[in-house]
Amino acid sequence: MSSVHCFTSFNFNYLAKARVLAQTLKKHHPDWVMHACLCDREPPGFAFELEHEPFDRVTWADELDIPRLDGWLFGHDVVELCTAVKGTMMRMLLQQGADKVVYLDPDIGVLGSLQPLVAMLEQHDVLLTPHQLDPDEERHAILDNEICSLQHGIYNLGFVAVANRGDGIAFADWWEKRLLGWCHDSVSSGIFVDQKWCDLAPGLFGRLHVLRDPGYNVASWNLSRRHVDITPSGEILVNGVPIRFFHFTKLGPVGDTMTQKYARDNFQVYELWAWYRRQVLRHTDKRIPKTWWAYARYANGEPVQRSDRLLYRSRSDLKRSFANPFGHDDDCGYFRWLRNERDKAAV
Amino acid sequence: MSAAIPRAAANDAATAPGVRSSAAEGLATKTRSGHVLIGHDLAAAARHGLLGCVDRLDDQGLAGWVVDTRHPTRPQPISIRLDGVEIFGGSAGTPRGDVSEMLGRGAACGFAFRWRDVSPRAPLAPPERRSGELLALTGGGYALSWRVPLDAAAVYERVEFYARRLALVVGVSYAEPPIALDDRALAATEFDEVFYLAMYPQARNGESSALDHFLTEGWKLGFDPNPGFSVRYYVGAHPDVAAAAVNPFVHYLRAGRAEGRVALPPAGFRLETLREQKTLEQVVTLWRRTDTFRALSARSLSQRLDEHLAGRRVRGLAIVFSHDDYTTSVGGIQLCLAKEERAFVEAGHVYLHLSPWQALPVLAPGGAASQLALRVICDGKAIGYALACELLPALTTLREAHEAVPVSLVVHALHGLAPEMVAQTARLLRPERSYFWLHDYFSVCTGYNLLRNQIQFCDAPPPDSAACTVCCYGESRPGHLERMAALFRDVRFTAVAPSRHVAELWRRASDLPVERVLVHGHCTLAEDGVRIAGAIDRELGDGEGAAIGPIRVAFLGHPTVHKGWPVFRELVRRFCSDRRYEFWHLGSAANETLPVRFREVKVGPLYTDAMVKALDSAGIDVVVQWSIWPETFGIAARECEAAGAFLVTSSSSGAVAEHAARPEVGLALPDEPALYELFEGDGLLERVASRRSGGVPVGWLRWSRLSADFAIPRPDAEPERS
Repeated sequence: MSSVHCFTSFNFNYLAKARVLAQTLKKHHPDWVMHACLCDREPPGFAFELEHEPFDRVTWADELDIPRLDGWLFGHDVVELCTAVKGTMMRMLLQQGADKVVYLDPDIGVLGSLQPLVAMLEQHDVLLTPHQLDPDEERHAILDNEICSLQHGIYNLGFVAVANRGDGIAFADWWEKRLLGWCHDSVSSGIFVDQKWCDLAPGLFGRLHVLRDPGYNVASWNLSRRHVDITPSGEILVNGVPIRFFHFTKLGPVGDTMTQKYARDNFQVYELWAWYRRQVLRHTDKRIPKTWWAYARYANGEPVQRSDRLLYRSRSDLKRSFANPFGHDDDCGYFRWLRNERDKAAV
Repeated sequence: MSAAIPRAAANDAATAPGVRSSAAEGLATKTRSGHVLIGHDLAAAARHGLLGCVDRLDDQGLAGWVVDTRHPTRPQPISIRLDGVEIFGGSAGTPRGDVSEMLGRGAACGFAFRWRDVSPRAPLAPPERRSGELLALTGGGYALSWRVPLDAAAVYERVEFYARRLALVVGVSYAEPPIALDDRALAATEFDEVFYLAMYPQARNGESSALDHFLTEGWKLGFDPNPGFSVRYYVGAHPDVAAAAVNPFVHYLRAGRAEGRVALPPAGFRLETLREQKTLEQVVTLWRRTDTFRALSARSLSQRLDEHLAGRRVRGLAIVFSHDDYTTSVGGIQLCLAKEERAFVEAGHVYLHLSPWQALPVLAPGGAASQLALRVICDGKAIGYALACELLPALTTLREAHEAVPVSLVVHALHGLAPEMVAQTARLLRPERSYFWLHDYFSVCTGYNLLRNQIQFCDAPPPDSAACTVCCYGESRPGHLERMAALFRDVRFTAVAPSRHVAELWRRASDLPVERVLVHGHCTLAEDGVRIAGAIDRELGDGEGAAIGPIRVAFLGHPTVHKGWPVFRELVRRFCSDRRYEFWHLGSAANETLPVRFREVKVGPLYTDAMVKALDSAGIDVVVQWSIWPETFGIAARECEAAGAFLVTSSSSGAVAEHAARPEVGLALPDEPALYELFEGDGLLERVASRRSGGVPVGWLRWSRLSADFAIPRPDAEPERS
């Protein structure tokens, strides 16, 4: 395996977005290998057929080389799981011989060539993009952007790229280990999924480079300091440099409110969003139920509560007793045990 | 099209039995989900547990249900008003099984009545006598919802019709909470009473102050407290404010501003347009006709043409393509075609016009060009419809019958047509001259006005550019250009630009091969006097502008985005309370949501000077024609000059800006802030004062004969060569 491998991680709810990502990436880099890491199983009536998808390869989360996989999958909610697999995927692609590995979130749209990344990875082993590149000045923007980054992570892990050498390999190994144990949404404990860990990365890995080009990872959290322009010659520029990719985080009313709060009269930003909406709509498969996630339910169809997951992942005795907490068909041991415990508590 | 606040209902509403007067105004709102709500105070009703639905509304009557979810068996008093007058007062109290099922307990809440039983007045006659589409049961979060299919334009027409006239008022038994004194004091700090009363004259009720009107009712009706705050936008953009059902202006002043919340739609109409934008495929689907036509065979078409031309001495043939039937559609190009037809016919030429039966915003599909259905008009007379495969043999027969006469091929527009069919026509008829008119930029992009995403002039960048990638026309453009290129390779056109501006832009943006590019305008001004505006009677106001009376500022024509209506609307919002200005709209249909004076003007082949006359008689001083696309000619700008009105436009309005470059004609400004600054200052006042006192030349428009000026040259109509 050689050259550049790109991957994204998602469940079927995000398939339309991931398709947009893959298609826009392939438009600019037909020679890059695009991987889908699917943290899900197919909903009834829908089959994921790679030959009809813009991805080159697919890896299913339940096929990953992770010890005690069923219990590990169960211990994560959907956001945690889709981020927790990233370290393992990255390490696996490097082991398989990829020269360079780029991760992109499924809600990213590639709008320009990412070729400069390849050159940067000749100089550096790891690339990260900070949420913000310029300080905010207004109080509300400091709260929304800088303080939010202090809580959730300085670098946005919608993007990370590594070269298959030295610190690139070391970063992937370290990140995988941390994510296998602690990829949790627990801001009060100082952890936010895969992202907060990377606050440590510049200190730990000397050949890591902080990418400070405003054309990368443009998103609502940095629009207060970035201006998007579309020139008569057809270029899309961000603070005067070519756009590379836009992170369309939170498609819907919340994303709209934050975008409008910071883009203000920069209507070109709304054009990018309008384009993205059209693309997502086009790639939406109506056969996939809107709230579908295979790991949201026990084998008996009952929903898995977040508290069920938190309890399970915090207790080694439960992990030992219930190796597959989802259960099989009617045999849902962990679910039964939980119900009994709750009944007892109620009495 | 959107439903509007039914002013008539709001102004004239009388208090119905059991209905509080403060709640007696009708409100109709189109929501994003495609619901049309009819009721008096939807937010309050939902807050107080009222739900309901109009599930039948047609030419027979109205039926539905209204339920108080806390007391579902308690009949709700309702009143139905038509044009503000109560036509039915009663209660909704018949048992409804479906609602009971939805609520999980018994509900007596249905109502139904027939028009003929309830009103001594004329029954409500809907624009179309169809029913069955306006039906849905919904338990959604609104008080009364009337569900319509999103894609049913015809239904919307009727919805708007009803919304304007009909108000269903539900009696409510709760008491409005009193306005907190500190809310009132806070709102008073930035409430603009003059603006409020100018924008919403219905708020002058003599009983309460404008501020109280706003705090009790106005905000619920979407009325804004000052030009810098939009109630509708603020509530829509901040779901938490909407859920709290608090006065959004008070919320903004107390907390929202400090939190950095946005008070006005950012980027103005551009964001609004993007939000409502449909994909090109959706637009095409909406335009699809469902009716049928009777197609003529080649033989019967030839017969009809022969009959029409019987006894005529034919000196030439003009085969003309455009996007619609110029004899029935209204517009500048259609007007020009009527003049072109007359010139050809007067010179003894046959003027055979072909337009698509199915109008489209794009080219007709290329694969089935022979099956393209066309409307055939000869010398202004409708001949019938024919498929291209039948039409072409008939044209060949016509050509053979008049072998010796010259043939002109004229293309005015290609929307809905197949360029392949035009090329085939040229191959069969071998025209001596072929003209391709640049009335727009359809030869350069599917987006005929070069507005990227319909909001911003794009300057026609390369089709593989990032800009085209994110544009709603980007995907269709390469295929579109390929078909255009094939046509221009097959037919050696002379391109005709109505202005120098379009000629230059087209040459820059297009590499289509043409014999030459000519510049030939549609009309010129023939001066015949001087208008002294002081002669017109005016109501003199007081204040700074009183010495010369308010400046009359007008918008001309259809209120569309690309013609600049949203910018004019914003101008009115900002300056409606400024006594220096008085705003007018001269066009074919009034927009009732703005405090502007409307004058109906219909321009047509028989009254081409209607707009010039209207401008003159209304004493319009200034026309704001803020086109956001590079207009190729701009007839309105010429009408404005002919009437002696001063033209204010955007520097990106193409030929209009080119026309306004002469200081005696008008002024082209770089952007919208510059426009608002002009109105803020005294610059316009001084210009108008000097024009009023010194007089301005006025005249009439001398129209060109378009292609006839080249095909049948006249010494006085020499085209300018570009």
